[in-house]
Amino acid sequence: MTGNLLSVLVFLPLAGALILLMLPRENHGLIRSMAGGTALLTLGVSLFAWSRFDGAASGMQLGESYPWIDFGMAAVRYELGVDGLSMPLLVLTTVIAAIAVLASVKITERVKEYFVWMLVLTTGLLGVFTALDLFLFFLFFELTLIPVFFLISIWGGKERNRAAFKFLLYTGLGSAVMFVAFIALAFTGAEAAASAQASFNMIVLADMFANPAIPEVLGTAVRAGLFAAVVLAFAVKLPVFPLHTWLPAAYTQAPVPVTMILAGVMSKMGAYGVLRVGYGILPDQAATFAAVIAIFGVINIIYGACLALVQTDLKMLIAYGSMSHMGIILLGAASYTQAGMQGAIFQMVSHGLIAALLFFIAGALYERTKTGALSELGGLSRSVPVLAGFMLAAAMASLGLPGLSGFVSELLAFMGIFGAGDLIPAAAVIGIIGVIGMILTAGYLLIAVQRTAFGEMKEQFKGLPDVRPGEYVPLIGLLGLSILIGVYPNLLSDIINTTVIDIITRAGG
Amino acid sequence: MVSLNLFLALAAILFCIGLYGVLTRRHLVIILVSIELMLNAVNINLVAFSSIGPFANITGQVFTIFVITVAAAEAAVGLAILIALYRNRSSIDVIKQDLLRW
Amino acid sequence: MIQNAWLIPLLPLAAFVILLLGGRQLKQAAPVIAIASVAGAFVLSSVVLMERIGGDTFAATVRWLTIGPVDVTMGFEVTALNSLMLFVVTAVSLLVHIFSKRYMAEDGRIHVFYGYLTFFTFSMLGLVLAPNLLQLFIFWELVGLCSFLLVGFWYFKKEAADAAKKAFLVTRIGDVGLLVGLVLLFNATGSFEYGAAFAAVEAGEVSGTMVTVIALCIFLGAVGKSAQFPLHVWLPDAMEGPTPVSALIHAATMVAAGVYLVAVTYPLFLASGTALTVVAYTGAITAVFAASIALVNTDIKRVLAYSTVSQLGLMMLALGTAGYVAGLFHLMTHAFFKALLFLAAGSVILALHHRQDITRMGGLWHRMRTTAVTFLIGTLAIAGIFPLAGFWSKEAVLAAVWANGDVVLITLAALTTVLTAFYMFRLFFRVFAGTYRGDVEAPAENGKTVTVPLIVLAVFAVTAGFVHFPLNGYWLEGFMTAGLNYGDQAHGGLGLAAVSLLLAAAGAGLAWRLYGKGEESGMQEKVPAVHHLLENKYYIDEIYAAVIVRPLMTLSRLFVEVDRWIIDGAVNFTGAITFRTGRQAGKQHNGQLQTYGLVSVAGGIALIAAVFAVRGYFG
Repeated sequence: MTGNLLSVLVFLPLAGALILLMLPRENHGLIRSMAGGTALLTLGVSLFAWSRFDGAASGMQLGESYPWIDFGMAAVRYELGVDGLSMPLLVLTTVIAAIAVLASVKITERVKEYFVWMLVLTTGLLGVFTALDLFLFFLFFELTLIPVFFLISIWGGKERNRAAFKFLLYTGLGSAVMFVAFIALAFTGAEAAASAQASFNMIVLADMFANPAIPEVLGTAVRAGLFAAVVLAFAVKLPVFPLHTWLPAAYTQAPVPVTMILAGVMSKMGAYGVLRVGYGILPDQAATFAAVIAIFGVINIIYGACLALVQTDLKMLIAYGSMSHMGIILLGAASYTQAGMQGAIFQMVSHGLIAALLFFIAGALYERTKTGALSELGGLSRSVPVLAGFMLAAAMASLGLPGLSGFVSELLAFMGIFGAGDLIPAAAVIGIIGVIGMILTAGYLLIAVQRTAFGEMKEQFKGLPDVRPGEYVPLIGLLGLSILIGVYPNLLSDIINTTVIDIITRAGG
Repeated sequence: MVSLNLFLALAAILFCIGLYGVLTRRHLVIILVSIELMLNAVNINLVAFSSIGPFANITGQVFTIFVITVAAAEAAVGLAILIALYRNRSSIDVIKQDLLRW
Repeated sequence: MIQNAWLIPLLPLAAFVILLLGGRQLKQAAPVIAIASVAGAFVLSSVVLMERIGGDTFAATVRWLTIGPVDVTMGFEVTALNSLMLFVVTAVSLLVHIFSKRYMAEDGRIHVFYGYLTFFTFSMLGLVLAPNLLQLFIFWELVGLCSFLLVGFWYFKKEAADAAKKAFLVTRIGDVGLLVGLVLLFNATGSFEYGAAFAAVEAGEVSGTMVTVIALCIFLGAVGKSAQFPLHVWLPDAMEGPTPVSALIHAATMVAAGVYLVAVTYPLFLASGTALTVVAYTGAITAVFAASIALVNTDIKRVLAYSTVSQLGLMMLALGTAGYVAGLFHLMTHAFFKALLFLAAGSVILALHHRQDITRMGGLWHRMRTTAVTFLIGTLAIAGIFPLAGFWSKEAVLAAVWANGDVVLITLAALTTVLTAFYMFRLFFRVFAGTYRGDVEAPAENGKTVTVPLIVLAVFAVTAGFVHFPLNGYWLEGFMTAGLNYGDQAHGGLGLAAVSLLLAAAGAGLAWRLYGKGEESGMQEKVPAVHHLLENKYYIDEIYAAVIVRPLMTLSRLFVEVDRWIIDGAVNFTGAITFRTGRQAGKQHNGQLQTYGLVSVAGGIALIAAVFAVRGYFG
């Protein structure tokens, strides 16, 4: 049963999409329930995989490996597997995808196409988090771009075309760099290991680069270049300053469920790539570049928070805040400590939940008030008290209130960076600047809450409908998971702990 | 024995005349004729190399036959296009055939 | 029972969950549910305190978060210090819950109010029971959240919403300091547990500089929460919240958490002389500074708020001068008499239909006898008049400062004593003496649920001091310091008691001279410059706005422009260039077959020429 579990998981949404294609175009009810059913089934399968996952074991689990393409000089294999780094993200993906599909009730045009793209996107995302072969990884990575492009450019807001193209161009650039980096990794790896056939397998490559003789074969400059290329390729997705300007456009123009996936899961692809490929294959370079990564992390935190402080549109504010929170991942990862690395993974999951929640709420508010301008909102605690309550809770989760998942990740990340003194010069200074970001975060989120929820009720918002039954699913689901992780983080740390120990020890202690 | 260079020079002259015709004449029929001229320049080269070239062998002559065949077919197709074009646009002046532009 | 002390916070939490889920349907039942849960917690706390007095410390933990080989745990611990805190918190909380039933009766969101209040009680109890610094921090943030929610309870008022935001952000600065402190402590000692971490510090595993840095970071947290200078600005504004909230959170419990924090991490401060001095000076400066603002303020709640800041400063001062027991003793007595003063003020405010301006009060002595008497008891207690609770605790504080011997600190403490008596009696006279100046018809008492908590608190305000006075051999000291090595606790003699009484009497007497009739003293005409400075709270808010807020906003706007014109500009520029190039290149495609042919021939020739030039003829 578990033999091909991951393949089943990855291709289940795609199968659902194929079935959707065969359904009659007009029957929206059937299409919705088919898509929702597929997404929920995928969620179920991922939870089953979670239950089969042994957190104490190190290395890849639930692995699958088949020969696929033999180029002669290079071999590509179809290889899937999960470890403590990818398992949480896998479940996160299925959770967010299921919630996003269920939250798509507002989509009324070209319904069939929409859900087909959503399911294809899910397959791409799941593939990215399970592929162990760089070639396969790249294919899945690219597979996510096409659906997102169409989802934004067909169902997006007013500026959707511009946003979609910007997204495509940015990620296209990232993909180009990634492609070159992957090929270079495979062939330099083979060269270093004096192997006749290049392998794209991440684990094999990691072993090749871990060869103690490697500094003599491959100069430091080459390896540094490889690492920089890998990080640059994924930095676009994360996004890291200054490669971020696609983010506000895409996040605000995409339909709400797509933004939930974009902010919740797709940005984690970048972080995952950095950790999996960059840190996994070139750990020594990751240690060398630690200070640079940490500095970019801090820039992200402060710059994103500052931009969020002065935004006049709720969605833009959340978008820049989302960028700011990505810095925490970089900060934690850069520290290369047990706590920091764990914090980075916690932040991926936590931010996935919270960003999706915030964007869902922003979307729900927009749908009711027909405006996103902070100056026009206000007093919503009076007209929609429950929704405003959820907004407050989401803001608290986002600013790292204890008892919610964001706190654990921030705590761990800062424990990491303050403990990274021997790796990063002036780590304490970087850490202090980072915690100032926490104050700014509280600032812009409270501004958002105050401008939307507090104040006198406005006449035009009287009698707006409060949370509908269907909306409770995303709200309670996402917030509940955040609380669950915040109250008992061992739920997650039991899964990732062993993998993190492995990552840290690979760097040579 | 006539030198190989003389054949090559003749072929080059013919080719250039043909090229000049293709690039400068406005009448499509003349252009087709010029193309024939260029093909024949190539034929002369092939035959010359085939009989007195450094690695003389029969392949060149075989190719010449091929080229002549293809040229005939090409002339037929070309003239057919020319007639279709004339029917549609009442002109076979190449300057006016600029549908495929930016 | 002591083994099940974890039940104490869970009772209010259960009430909170019920109120949250029940929502509007529980509007009638909300006060009952909340009061019952807190009453239960109070009973349990009393039992735990009794058991702890006769017994020993108890602790239990569970694994919470695994970081590599290290397990971070959560749990609870019952020590002398926190069993006492449990009792104080649940007692005040219970009385405030009862008081609120009448105070908030007309509010349509009373169920929400009680929900927040029970959640606060839960968080505060969780904070007190925490066996490690991380758990303390978790609840520390939760009480901050409750404070935010309750200050902004009337969120539709702009002042309330602004005050809530300000309270959250200013304390957040301190919280971030505390977070850094506990992260550094963990990195230095490998544990969040009080015992393990302090043992490592005492064993000298941590460098002296590091201990000082950690202690100061932790103290920054205390400064934020306990509204010490320079982070005191949020507390007076927090008076926008309902008065019971001010009594519970912003007088008796949450703001005292800063003092409590310093007390539980006391070994760190003892290990660093610098940190201890910083604590003492911050406390002393805050005490005088806030007291001076209280001299001129005309809002009944804000006067009390500045008084709270000042008294918290005194507690810090005591802790900073090695007066561990003195600081905590004052914390306990202050919790009772300040809660009393706030609730009495709430009673007045309620009778006057939410008017808080003391220039429109006066003459209430005859109209609201119970409130007036209890307020007077509170005033006497805080002024330090024998034999009320405040006398004993303030004397303990002064004794610690005196034993420390720093002249500046002694002067500031003495000055605070005078000022405290002065502004409190001023407040009392302005509200209760003279003739009534308000416009509300016939203000009167508000019924039993209001007066009973006042009377109970008044009893505490009179008697709470007797746990620590010469006749029982300073019992509290023996209880609190058993098993701890925090140095000798100073005791004042008769002389010190006489001096402190004299100082208080001087302040009270001066207030009597100036305000005895309940009317304006005319001080603002006599010393306009000073009055102006005090009335504007030393312009601290304005300075912060000019130095921090505005530059930050300007910087952020600059970033927006950078983002739009430089970073995104570069992206758009690249796009535009590509587009333009394509356009221009496209224009060359004129559809002329012969032009294309010519270009390709030229290109071919150029290519061949280039190959020849580089590699030679057939070369």
